[in-house]
Amino acid sequence: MIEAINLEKKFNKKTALEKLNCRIPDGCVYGLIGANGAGKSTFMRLIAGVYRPDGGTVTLDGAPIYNNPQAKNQLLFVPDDLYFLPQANMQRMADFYRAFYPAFSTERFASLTEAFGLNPKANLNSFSKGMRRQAAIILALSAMPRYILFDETFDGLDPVMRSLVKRVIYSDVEERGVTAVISSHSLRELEVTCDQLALLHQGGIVFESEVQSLQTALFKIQIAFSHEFDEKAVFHGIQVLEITRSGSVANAIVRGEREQVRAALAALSPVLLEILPLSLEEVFVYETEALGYRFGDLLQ
Amino acid sequence: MKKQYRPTPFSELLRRLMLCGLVCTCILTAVSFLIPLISALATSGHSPADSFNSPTAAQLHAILAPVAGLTAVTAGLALPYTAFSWLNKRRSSDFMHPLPVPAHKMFWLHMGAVFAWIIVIFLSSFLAFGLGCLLFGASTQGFWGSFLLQTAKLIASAVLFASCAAAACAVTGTRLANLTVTVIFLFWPAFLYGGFSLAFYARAELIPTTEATLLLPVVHNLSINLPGGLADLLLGFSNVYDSGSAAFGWTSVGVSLLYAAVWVAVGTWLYHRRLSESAGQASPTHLIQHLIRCALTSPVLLLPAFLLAAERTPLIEILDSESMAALVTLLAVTAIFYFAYEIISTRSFKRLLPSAAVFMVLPLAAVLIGTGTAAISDMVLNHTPPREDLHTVYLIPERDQRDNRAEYWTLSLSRIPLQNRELLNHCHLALNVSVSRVLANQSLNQGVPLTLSFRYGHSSMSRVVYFDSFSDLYELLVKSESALEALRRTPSVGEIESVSLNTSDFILDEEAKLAIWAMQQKQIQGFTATELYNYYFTNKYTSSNPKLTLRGTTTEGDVFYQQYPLTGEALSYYNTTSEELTSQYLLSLSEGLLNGKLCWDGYVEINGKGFTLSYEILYSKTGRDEYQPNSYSIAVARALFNQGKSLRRATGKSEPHLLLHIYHIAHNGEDYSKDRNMVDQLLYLPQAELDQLLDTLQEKNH
Amino acid sequence: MLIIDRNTSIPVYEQIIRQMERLILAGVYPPGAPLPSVRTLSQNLEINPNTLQKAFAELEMRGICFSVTGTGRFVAEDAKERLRNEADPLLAQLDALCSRLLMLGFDEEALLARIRALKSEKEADLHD
Repeated sequence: MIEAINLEKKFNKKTALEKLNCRIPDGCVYGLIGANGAGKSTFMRLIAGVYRPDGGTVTLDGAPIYNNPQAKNQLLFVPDDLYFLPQANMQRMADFYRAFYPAFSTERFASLTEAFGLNPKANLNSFSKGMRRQAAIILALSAMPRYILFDETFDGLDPVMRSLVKRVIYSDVEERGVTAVISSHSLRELEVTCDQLALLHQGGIVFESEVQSLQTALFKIQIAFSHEFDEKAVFHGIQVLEITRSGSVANAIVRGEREQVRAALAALSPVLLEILPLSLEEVFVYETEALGYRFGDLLQ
Repeated sequence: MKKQYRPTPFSELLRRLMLCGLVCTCILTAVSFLIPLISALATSGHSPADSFNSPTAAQLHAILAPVAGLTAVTAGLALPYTAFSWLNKRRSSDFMHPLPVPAHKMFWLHMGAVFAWIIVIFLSSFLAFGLGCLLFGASTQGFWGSFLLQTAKLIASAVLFASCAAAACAVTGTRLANLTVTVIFLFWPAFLYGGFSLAFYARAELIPTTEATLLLPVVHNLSINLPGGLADLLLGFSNVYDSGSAAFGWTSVGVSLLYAAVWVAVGTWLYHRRLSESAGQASPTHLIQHLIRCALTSPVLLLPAFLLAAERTPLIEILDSESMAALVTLLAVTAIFYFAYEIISTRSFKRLLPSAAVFMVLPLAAVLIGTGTAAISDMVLNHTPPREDLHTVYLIPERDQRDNRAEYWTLSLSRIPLQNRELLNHCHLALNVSVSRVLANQSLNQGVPLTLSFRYGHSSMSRVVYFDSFSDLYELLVKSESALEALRRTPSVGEIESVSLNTSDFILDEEAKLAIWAMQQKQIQGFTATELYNYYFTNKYTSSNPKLTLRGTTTEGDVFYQQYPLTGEALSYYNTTSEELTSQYLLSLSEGLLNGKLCWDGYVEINGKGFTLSYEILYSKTGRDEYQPNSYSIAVARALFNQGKSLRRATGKSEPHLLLHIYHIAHNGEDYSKDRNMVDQLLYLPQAELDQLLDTLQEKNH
Repeated sequence: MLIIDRNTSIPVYEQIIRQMERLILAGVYPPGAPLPSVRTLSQNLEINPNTLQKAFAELEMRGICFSVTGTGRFVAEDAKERLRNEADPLLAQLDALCSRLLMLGFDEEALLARIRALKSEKEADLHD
């Protein structure tokens, strides 16, 4: 498990992360969402052991990561601005990784390289930007790490490649209990891929949750009666974030257990009772409003 | 092949340096092999007569040495800069930092790869040159030991340069800052320490530099030594194979490797503290930037500080308008470099104000260091033992700078503890006088210096002491029986390596010279105190008598030389023998010339009252290995022949004389190497015979 | 056979549950049959395996399926009954709706026709 406790990081007097608390369990796909400058990259680099914390701790299974080879052995970081050894090809990079990560799998490297249609002997300078990204992903996946960090990696991949990579990640998560941490701007992307999400804003985590519980915890209810009704009274005892009324139909954003709420409302014999799921984006909007933020600001 | 290659972090780093390392290796190895090859090709067209001209391995190495030295500096910097270049860019730094290797191990892996390549470069050069010399016939006699030493010195220098460069890379984040800090690490401590030491000794004046143990850490530092040596070699000076400095050489290897180890330790610590985000920044913190700027520009102000401290320049003189103008100019120059570095390295003007505040440290530090050095030097000099405590004085022989050679009598005397009270008081007084003159900045020109070792209590102190006249000292000296014993000591046969006469040296062979020496030696052993005093301490004999010069090494290992004027029996024996031998020699010489068995090459110079005639090249070469004595030589030979029968030598050089400069005597068609002699024979002819000779020669001239 | 539509706002997790229910009810997974492995499903449908696990865990919690350690998950014997029982609230809703519709003037034939149409649609779905 990766855990950050009151993590702080400053660069030349500017604070990048401030009192960040976060827990990334094993065997999950963890998404980090936030605007540019929110601190996603910084946080990931702190996890990877690139940076040293200025305050607080970031630990892997309880041990601090910075300058700790036992911890770093299990982590691999794929940054958004890639670096390769000068004049190297994929084979050379594979050798380099093999030297430092004993778990590196040449079989996986070979099969992924072939699946992506890349030439391991060709100079990486001759690769397109997308191909370089693919090469970096292949190398990272081939090192068979327990924790793999993708910093806005998927944003540049085409759908076919994206789907290929995801399959590999899912397979690793399922078989070896690998944890993948993915950062992105796009909630859409993370919604489908991740099972945990965290929202970063100005160097801190606004909230983190399981995706599934985010999706089920909030829902929209449409209710209508054949008689006049006071919507506030109708939803008495139910945790409501927002109620709007258009004509004889009331719409409410409700937090709670779906079936319980349904039963409670059905008992009132409405003529219309619909429970509709919210998109994750809508959930985010409501959740962050509840915390006092405007979601639009958080992602710009 | 792929299956067999198991990549390890170390092998990857070796690979990383492969381009740089291979280029250096190939260039130096090629040069090392080509030098003996080209030399062999160049000399193959010459006659065997010239074979003694073909260069020895030692001479060829003198050509290789500057190239190798330059490679040591270049590779010593290029390899670590290449290895650590990733520290200067965020991307590469962020890539390398999360690798699962502990920081200190990562640093050592890099250093290991750098050192491995350094060894490859110079080992390869060693083998190539050695092989080349063996294959192409350069004489390698006595060469391997010094070649090994030279190679070790090159490796140690490169390792030292690399260690400083690596430590510099560990703390800074741009190429300019890397270079700057490398230079600072390499030279600043040596500059500071060396400057202090030199100023200390220069100011104290009386502390002998042979005892200059203070300077040894700098002298043995190859990062100073090698560039200095390179300059020397380029200008044609030093001979690195001098036996005296060979032991010196291995010490410098050890000392330099020790420094390198220190810098590796410093670098490890700096690297351990390094943050990845330092990449691309000239310096990780403001404090370090201040330190770099100050260290870089301080020598401009420290140098005059040391010079002023060394010179005992009174403050008043410093403050006079000319010196002040110079100092102010230096201050301005320092400021320009100081702020220029700040602007260039950080590419911004933001920190100019804080750095201006720190700038004031520099002149302050210069003043403090200058006055501190002066104070320490004076303090040490002023410390002389009280007269009562002084119980023994030793004479310290003065040794030649290059070959460590000293006069035998001083070596002999230096082993005697001199404890005569009058003598001690005399020396003590001279010491105090010398010290007070130096401290008062008065000239010491009156008097001649001797280096003495003063023993008081259990301590000792060596000082150069100026005596107003030596005669007082020597008179006291010969009162001591043990001193007289020492003066009667002379080198034994086993200690003597060469004997030469200042006159007609070639006439007498080794045996004859040693026989004369034996006689002189016996005389000296019987000298009284007065005779010893006259013999060693006056020029009663040295100005006019022929002198034997002995050179050698004592059984204790001291290298000596000594001129012994011939006196008494030895002198008369010499006179008789040498006249006889000279006649015999001239006889055989002229016979040989007349018979055509010998021929010479050189010139004959006849000096008379008011004229000089010089005849050059008195032989004709009629073909390869064929010589024909020509008419001049015949004429001179005849004159010699006649002269040989009745030789009279006049004294004084103003007499007309015949100077034979024969520097090539060879047998016709025989082994030339055997009879190479440089003969410089002065023959004084009586006027009449000279006239006769001249007539003969002038006749033949036309 | 499981189809995931990524364009709706219905979470994947819910879609999986609904589809599994549908397949069990349709008899595609009869009682005692093993459920598809998380691994295969995750790869084929490109879904996060944890999401699948959670969906199956929910089914297990509701008694629709059970797991045998080391072997996998299997459809419960009474899965269909349970699912149908869960339909009670839905039936209550249906009553409310039908009474309203009947009141509005729809006759039972019209309603029945609608139901028949829905059923054939569902059957068509199943055979895809």
